[in-house]
Amino acid sequence: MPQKSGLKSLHNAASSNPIQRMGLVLDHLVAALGEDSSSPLRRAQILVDIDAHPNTTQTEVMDRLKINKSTMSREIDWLYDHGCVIRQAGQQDGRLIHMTTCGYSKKSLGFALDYADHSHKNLQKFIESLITVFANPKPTLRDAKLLVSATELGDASRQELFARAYKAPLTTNVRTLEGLVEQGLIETDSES
Amino acid sequence: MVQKFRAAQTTINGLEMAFLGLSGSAMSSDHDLTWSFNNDRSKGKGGTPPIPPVAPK
Repeated sequence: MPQKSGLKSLHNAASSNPIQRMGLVLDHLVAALGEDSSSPLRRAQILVDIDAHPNTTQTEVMDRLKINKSTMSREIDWLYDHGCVIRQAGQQDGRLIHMTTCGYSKKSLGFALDYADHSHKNLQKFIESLITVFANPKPTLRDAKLLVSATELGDASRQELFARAYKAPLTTNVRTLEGLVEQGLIETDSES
Repeated sequence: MVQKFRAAQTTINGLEMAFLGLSGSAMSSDHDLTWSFNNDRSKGKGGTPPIPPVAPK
């Protein structure tokens, strides 16, 4: 559809600022995960890996991402329960379950990939680099968005930051911001 | 006084790395990447490229 791709290109061109692009990629990842911004970045990584390898198995994803079995099982169940992936028993071996991204997840990942030169590898590198920024072992997409917003805004009030954050109860946003301050990722002049 | 928040330098460095990953750019130690972020915070928006040093005559 030329009209659709034209609109996409215009959208890409309009957001030429690197920070804005990262914010938009995070938005698309949140959309791919059923608008659940409390999703860990690891979950997004798993979804991107499945999208890059249609009909892949849980063991293959585990091997590629070096994620332990219990975490992987929990995340795969979440993705299946939220309609992000479909599971099918293998034709050769019914015990092997193959997974493929579907529906809104696949569509939203496609939008995210527009900003990654249509490369799953680039998108994975992006998420992996984001994870390493945090001291917290389980950063969420909400954490990442707040960091991107703080970087884009420069000196910003709590209210200005929360206006850019994902919709959540005030207590959730306050807790997220405090966590980022504790990790030394956001600085504040509260002492003065 | 309204409490202000800003990204720490480590955050800016980390996001630069993340952006390089996203764009598939090769890492280069002699390339100044900070211009693309808001290192010019006094203007309150995305930074501008640094002015290249003038070669001595």
